[in-house]
Amino acid sequence: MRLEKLFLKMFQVEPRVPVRILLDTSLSMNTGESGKFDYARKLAAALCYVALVRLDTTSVHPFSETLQDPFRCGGGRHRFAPVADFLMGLEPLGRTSYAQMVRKFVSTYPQRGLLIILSDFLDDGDCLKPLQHFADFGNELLLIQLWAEEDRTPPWSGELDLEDAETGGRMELSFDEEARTAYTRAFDEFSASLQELANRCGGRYVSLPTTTPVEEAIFGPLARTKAVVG
Amino acid sequence: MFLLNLSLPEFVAIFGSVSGLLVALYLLDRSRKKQKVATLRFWISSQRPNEVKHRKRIQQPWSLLLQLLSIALLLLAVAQLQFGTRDRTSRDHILILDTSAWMGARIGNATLMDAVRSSARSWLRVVPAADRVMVVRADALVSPATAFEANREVILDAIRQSRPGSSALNLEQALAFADRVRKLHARRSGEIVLVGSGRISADEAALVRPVPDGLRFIPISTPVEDCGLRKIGLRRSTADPDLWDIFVSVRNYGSNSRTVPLALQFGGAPVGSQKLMIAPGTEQNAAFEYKTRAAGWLEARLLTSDSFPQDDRALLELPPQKLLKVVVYSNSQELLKPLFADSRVQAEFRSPAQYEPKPDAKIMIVDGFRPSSPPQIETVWIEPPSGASPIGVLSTRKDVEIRDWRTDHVLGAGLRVKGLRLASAQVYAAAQGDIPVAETEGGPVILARPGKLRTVVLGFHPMRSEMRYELATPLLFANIIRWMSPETFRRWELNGGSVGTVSTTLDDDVQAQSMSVSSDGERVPYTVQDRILRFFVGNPSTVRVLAGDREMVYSLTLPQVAEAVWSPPPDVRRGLPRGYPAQAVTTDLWKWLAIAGALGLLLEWILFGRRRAFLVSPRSPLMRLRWKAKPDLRRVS
Repeated sequence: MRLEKLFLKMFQVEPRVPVRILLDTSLSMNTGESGKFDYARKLAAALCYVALVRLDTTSVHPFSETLQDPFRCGGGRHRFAPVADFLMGLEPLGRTSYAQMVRKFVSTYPQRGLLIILSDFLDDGDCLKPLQHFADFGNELLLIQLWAEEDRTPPWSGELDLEDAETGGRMELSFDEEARTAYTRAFDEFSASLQELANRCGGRYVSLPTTTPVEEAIFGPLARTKAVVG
Repeated sequence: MFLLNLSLPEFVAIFGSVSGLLVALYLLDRSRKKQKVATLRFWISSQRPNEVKHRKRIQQPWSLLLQLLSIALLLLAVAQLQFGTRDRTSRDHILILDTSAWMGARIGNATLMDAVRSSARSWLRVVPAADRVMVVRADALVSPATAFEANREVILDAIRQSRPGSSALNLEQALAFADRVRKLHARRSGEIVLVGSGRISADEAALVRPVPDGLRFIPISTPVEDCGLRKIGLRRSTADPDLWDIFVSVRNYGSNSRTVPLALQFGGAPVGSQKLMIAPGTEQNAAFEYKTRAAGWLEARLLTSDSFPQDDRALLELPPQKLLKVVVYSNSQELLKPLFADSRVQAEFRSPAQYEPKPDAKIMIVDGFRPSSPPQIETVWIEPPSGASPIGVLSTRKDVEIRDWRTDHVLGAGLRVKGLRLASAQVYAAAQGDIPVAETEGGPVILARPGKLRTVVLGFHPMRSEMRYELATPLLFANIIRWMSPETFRRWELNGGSVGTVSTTLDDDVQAQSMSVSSDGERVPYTVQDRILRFFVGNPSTVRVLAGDREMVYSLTLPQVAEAVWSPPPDVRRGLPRGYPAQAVTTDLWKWLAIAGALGLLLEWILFGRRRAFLVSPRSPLMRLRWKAKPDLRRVS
């Protein structure tokens, strides 16, 4: 001791909350003319870029039936190119299984953080319970539901032979104006249930049609959630 | 009610085919559309249990019925459904307009053609509107002006544009044509209507032939007095080549005797005149003589005024009498002068010292000397000295006899001297293509060589040998000159006449293959049968016939006027008809049927067609308005 005195040094460390982007790469994201999958990749790239500019570290976790290898990005905006390459290399594949994905995620990443989920949430099973598990393990949820116009209001009419993009299941039906109204109502009810889940868990929910430009989505709905700039 | 354009079986067949196609397309259109969707979970909630049906079943019967009904209406419109009874009275008529040269005759201020047009229009006004009419113009040839036409404007236009021709009416041909057309092309036979004066040739009038059924004759009264030129013939006199023998034929077509002065002019100067008294319906000839070597126009004119002036004047072009220039280089000119005494030959005698290789002449005679340079025009060599002959000399023989003359060639034509002996003669070596004219035992003593410059060599002097007493000597030289310059001795015949068929007798020696018949540089079709040449000219023109050494020029500028008037058989209807059977009254429905069919298809499209899909499409303006009414789904929660 140079001064023969005891000093007490006090530091304040602000804990860093990990930000993870869960990107849905199931086949349901590849239906429709507007391309939900491309839209989701653009949106993920934009969020990563915002994080890189702020010198934050984020990780992108693609998922479909299960969780795939993540990609960590950080170190400034000049490190954006690898992020773009990673996102460009993704391809839509398989069906969605939120139950398996959540189980694996929780066991792999016990540390709590902010989960930004970019998905159409069109799982044949119930996706609400697995999402509830995320919140139960202390994660903060930002649910971004992406939907194409034909997902909400199918433009077709008459006799239809439908095929599920993920499961290959088929259905024949006659589709008219009344059926279209019932369809839209069911879709809206599902969106409302997602929103209710997010609210209940203290998270946030954003509904984004693919007709919304990405920059408008970033500086509009997402900015208002304070998830991007907050 | 009936269909105008289709029969009932045709309509049923077409409608059945179209309906079958329509139902097939309908079932195809109503088949299920395959769509790949993100999930089926929301579709399940929109599904109604009774909606799953078999694709082959008709799902929207009213749509199909509406389509079939609309197609049936459109098909009925195409088939022209009409109320009333089918019009079985409309007929197809053929209107023959007499456009012969005689229709150019004047009555007062109007021509007979104006009267024909007026009568044709009067007849057309009587014809029911549904009847179709074909307009045919007839003179020596028959030419249809329209097809069977219901449009009165087209028919009137064809009548208005009809003009008198240059030839006479060939009635038999016109009626045969009309009858054939009516049988082949008319839907329902109407009348054959002839409008005209009915003037035909005497030959045709003499023939009694049946006329087609349903013939109507609308005569044009023609109280026309006319005297006209029929023919003019000119040929050079056989006694004097400079003298033209002229023959003029004049006919009185009227019904009264007339005295008409006939005048001839050559180059505007009068050359002769005669007064002709011609009985009605007869022809009279006048003969003239006129001497000239010059070329020019000879005009024959009747100094009278009548209602058909077209045949009062005729014009012929006379060719010049060309002179053949011959230069004779000889020391014994007096001997040769009788050989070139023809008036068509202009001979100039010179001494050998005056020799020029290319004098101003067509033919040169080289008599017994060696020229300083080869001649550059066609040449006759007489007994050329040794080594000067243009054709190789085989030998010089004494006391030889001419055994053979080449009488089948123009050079030896008419030479039939037998046993002519020559004291001395050169015998020539004939090459390929040479023509031996006179031959002895040792070879030819007169030899001709064709080519660019024709050459004839005589191995003896004709006026110093025994031949000088023979008629064959001037004939031989005449043949040589004709062979070297055939146009000098060409015989000319000039004929003025009317258009139509021309017949003339040819000489015996004329080959049909070597003949030429042309008009204004274009070949005219002709036939030769039993040495009679025939050709036809439909329009005024000048035709040249070249047959051997004879050239005939036909100046066919006179109108062909027929001599007789046709007397129709009693069963032929005459004059304008009072009327034809009235036309059945029908109502056209095709416009209303077409509108109803189109409205039916439009209604089907509105109620069942793609318009619904358009209205409910998310891109449609209507659907965009609906989304704006639900802003909560687009807003961030």
